[in-house]
Amino acid sequence: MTEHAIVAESLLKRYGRVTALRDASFAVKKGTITGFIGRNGAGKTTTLKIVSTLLDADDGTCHVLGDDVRKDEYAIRARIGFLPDLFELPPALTLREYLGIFTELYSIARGDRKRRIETTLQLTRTEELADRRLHALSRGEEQRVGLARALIHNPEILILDEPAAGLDPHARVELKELLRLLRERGKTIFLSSHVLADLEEICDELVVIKKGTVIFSGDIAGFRKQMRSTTRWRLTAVSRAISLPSGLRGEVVESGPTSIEFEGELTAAERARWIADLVARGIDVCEVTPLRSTLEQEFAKAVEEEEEMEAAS
Amino acid sequence: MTAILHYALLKGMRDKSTMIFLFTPITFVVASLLGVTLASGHPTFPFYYSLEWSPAQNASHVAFMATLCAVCFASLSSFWMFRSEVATNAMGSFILAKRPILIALAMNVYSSVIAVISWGIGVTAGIILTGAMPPDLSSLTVAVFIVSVAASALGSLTVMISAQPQMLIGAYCGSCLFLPFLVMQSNRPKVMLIAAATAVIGTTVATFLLERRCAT
Repeated sequence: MTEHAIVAESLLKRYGRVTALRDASFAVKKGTITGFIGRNGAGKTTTLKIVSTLLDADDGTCHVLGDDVRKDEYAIRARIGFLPDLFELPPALTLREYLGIFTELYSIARGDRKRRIETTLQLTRTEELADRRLHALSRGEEQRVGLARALIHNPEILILDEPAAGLDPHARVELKELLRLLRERGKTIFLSSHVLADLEEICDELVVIKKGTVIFSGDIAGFRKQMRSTTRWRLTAVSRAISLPSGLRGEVVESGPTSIEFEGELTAAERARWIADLVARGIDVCEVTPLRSTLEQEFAKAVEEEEEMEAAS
Repeated sequence: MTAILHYALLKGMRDKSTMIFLFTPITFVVASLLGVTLASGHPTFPFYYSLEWSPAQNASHVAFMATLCAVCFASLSSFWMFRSEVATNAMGSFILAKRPILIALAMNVYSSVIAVISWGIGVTAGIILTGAMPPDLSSLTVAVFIVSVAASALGSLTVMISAQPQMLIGAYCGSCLFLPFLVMQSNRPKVMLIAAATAVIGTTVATFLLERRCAT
């Protein structure tokens, strides 16, 4: 329990006849960035709201930093920062004033407020916005302001609902840098996103949800293993056709005039043997590239497999 | 609670809504007194609603009008102050930081204080313009205080039910129907108890709805 920041077990949530979550169980390790992925309507926002104590589950348990979300909601709220997918900022206030209000709301000692605001502004790179009124901000600026608000009380856990939605590539890079920095500082980050390429880059762990049921919770390597994914290797020669040595576990999936794509788990020794074999036959190998399937492809495969299983049953 | 009051004050001063709610009663009082005095063909000081009334009666009438105006606008200011936050679920960030009951209470305190101050401004203007003190000022002060709290609770309850701008009309009409009764009957303890009960029930239900809204 102690190594986990969030532990959810058998969560159930119904909205009338619609079951948003059923038997959803997962865990988020402390000090990690955990991505939460699923299609629209899969139950991500509902789960994040339950974890943030804003919504009660109909059944099941959820503990955040060891506290029960039903019994100790106020203790949890003081230790988490939550950024919803949609939020509005008060256009009449400056960012400094806005953050100042939240330092008061979180009862931060009067003497520490100014320092806390400056630290948060620096951390979220919003210093240039500090004295600007919160209107006519770009989506990226809004997200940074939202993050600044979520971080103002120095929470242990950050819960972010689609923070990358609508961000341009530059803003996404900045967001990823910030999240990495926060992880280095010991924060636990649990975020949902549809930008799986970004999640793949920064996440240590993954929770995959489909139609209200968590179908995977663990590290990304574990997800690939569960999906039985193998790496493709592309070998490219300078001018001559490449042949496949015997004894390799896997199959050729694509073959070009001077290249070959092989799918299978190749150890470093096996790769070296293959290359040496080709060189011995007078073929100059100029490139060996691993073509790992993307998280997006793995997720699509997971969803497809589940749907096939459902159809079969 | 002071943080929420600070937020409301900052926001209200910037978007000028606080000024509107503060100075509406005085505008009503001065405009109506001036209008009647000038229209009657005897534009003399002190101003009056009726030449047949004594200055004290005119002052009493002014105070009553200022009271009605202040308490009705208390519900409107309570509705308006956090309307956009409720409509956009921005309230979620507030209830993560403070208990919902404190937020609902702060909304009521803010609007009640605005109502009492605006009433004070209106009555002071009435006293100056009519040249007399209203005889029932002390009892009216108590009534304004209690009914403003009830009106604010109704305003916050209305915004929690729906933050659509058209609900403002509903809040105003409801206030105009219910609050004058409370003000007119304010000398009866039972009526003041109804006002206090309205404030408590309105705040409690508003708190409950606030939590529900933030969950959706």
